[in-house]
Amino acid sequence: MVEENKNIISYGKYIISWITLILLVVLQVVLGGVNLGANSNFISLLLSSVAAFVIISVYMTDRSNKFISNIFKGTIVAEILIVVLLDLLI
Amino acid sequence: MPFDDQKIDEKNSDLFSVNKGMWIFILLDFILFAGLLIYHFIGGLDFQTEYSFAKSELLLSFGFFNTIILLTSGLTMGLAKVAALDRNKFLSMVFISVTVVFGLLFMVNRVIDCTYLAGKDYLYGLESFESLNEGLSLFFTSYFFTFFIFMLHLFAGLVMLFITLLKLIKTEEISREFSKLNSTVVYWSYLTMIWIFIFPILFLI
Repeated sequence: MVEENKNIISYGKYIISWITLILLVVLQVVLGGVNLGANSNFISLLLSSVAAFVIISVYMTDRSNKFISNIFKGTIVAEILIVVLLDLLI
Repeated sequence: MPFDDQKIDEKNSDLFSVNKGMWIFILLDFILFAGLLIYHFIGGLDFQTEYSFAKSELLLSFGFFNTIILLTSGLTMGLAKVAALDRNKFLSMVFISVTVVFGLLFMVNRVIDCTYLAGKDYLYGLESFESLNEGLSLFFTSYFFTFFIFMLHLFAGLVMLFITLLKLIKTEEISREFSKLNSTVVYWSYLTMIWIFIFPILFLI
């Protein structure tokens, strides 16, 4: 049982997710300095949404209220879809 | 094994649960921040030149540094949870204390940023602020308002961290404080997540 708990959270899992988040932010800043035209806003928001999803999935764990927790994940997914849709429309 | 299929030992279950009140607060609060950021974003569509100029006046390096600080503080909170699972009370307290230091560092950085902008007469409330054109005025009003709301949240987060730390110091059995610890981790991670949106919308886009 203790081993199963350790599979859910471990030092390695948090450190890998932290490195991923740092890379996403660095990418955001680097791309912010490159002129990508109308796509700049879209890419920046998309990277933010991916980072937010990583945070919710790894850091904001709640095994007792999965429904509410999933609503939050769904909100971020919906936000990603709206950003993609707006980019296609504008 | 998929994440959701993994089982949790009954005696550790509190470390993976958050009360519903916290989730409802987070969901409602997220809507508040989304509204603020959408308002700022739409303003940028109407006053593109002014917003570009205003962004060039901001300290991007400070914004970036703050993002790294907050992400790292999120990591240390997560590590405090792993240490708690290992029943290592001391290490868990060390990680929470490091998070407090990062939180304070973030606040100090924001104060420096505000002082810098005040020196350039962009601080909302100053007499010279009234003389700014509509676009710049709108940018800095929503900029400072968003920051003010975020700083209130951060302050509340620091208070939660202190309370959790005190409870950990007092308790003999760390598992009694699992629920409190996880709520603090979730709230602090929520702040990190909000900042992940604030940073590009205020500084980059």
